[in-house]
Amino acid sequence: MNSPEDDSLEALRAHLANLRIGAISVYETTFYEEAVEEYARRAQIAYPGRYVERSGHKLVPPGMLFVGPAAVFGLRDGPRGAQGGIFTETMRRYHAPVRVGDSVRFEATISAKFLRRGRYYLEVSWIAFAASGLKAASGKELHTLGMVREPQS
Amino acid sequence: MNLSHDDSRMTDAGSADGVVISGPTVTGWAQGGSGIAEGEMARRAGLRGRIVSNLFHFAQVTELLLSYFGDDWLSDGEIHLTYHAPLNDGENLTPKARLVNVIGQTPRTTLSVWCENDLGEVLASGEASCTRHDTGGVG
Repeated sequence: MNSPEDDSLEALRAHLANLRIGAISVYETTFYEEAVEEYARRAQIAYPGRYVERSGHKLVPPGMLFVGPAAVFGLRDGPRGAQGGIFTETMRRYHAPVRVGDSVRFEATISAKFLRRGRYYLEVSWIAFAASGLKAASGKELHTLGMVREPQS
Repeated sequence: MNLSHDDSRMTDAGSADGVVISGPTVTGWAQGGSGIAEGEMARRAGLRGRIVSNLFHFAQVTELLLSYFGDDWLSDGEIHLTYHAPLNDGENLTPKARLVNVIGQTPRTTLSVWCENDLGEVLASGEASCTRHDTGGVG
């Protein structure tokens, strides 16, 4: 009988084999105030604090504008060790602020997938478009997939 | 656009080259459902237990950068951050930055940024830059 780690590794290998470089995921997110307040609470940042325009509109903290590679391209079901992962590197550029209540369209593309020192990694490039169609933010995220490691010699 | 501005939580000794500015020290808590390993799986992954999502580090660095650059950060900020080590559940994190250079006719200011735990270990590091039109609360 396989150990939980073995099951997770098998699931991860199969999943990664099916992920294609250049695969694109497009989705829309509306930044409702409740979600922004929850983010601020978890991140322990003052809200609305500095995130208010002169007009009085509240703004989305830039830390909410990103694509989570595991959330978009990772395994959602199956062995627990094959799900999730952690961010290891991030590059982000902000182009325009996003208001609370606005919808943002994210276009995420797998730009690389690889195994390094026993861990599986996914690199995802992304662009966030505001309701106006203009760029709000863009970036690239490097993320491990799963929590298990291939055995090291 | 002019954001509400609160630099009272940022400590600094000026914006001179090499001087470190710090944000407030914040305690990180592992959130339920974050997908971060716990228990036996965490130990086998080489972790000491539940860890705080790296998004927490990013949020704290962002607050420091907003304090320094002001609302320009939201429309012109750029950051590259590498995560080196996790923040463990209940540990403290302090975001810090140091001016690297100011270049160009319209100055684009670059800061070296990093996060430390209570032991002074660097948990994440990188660079951030933005066009800075005012001196904010620094220097």
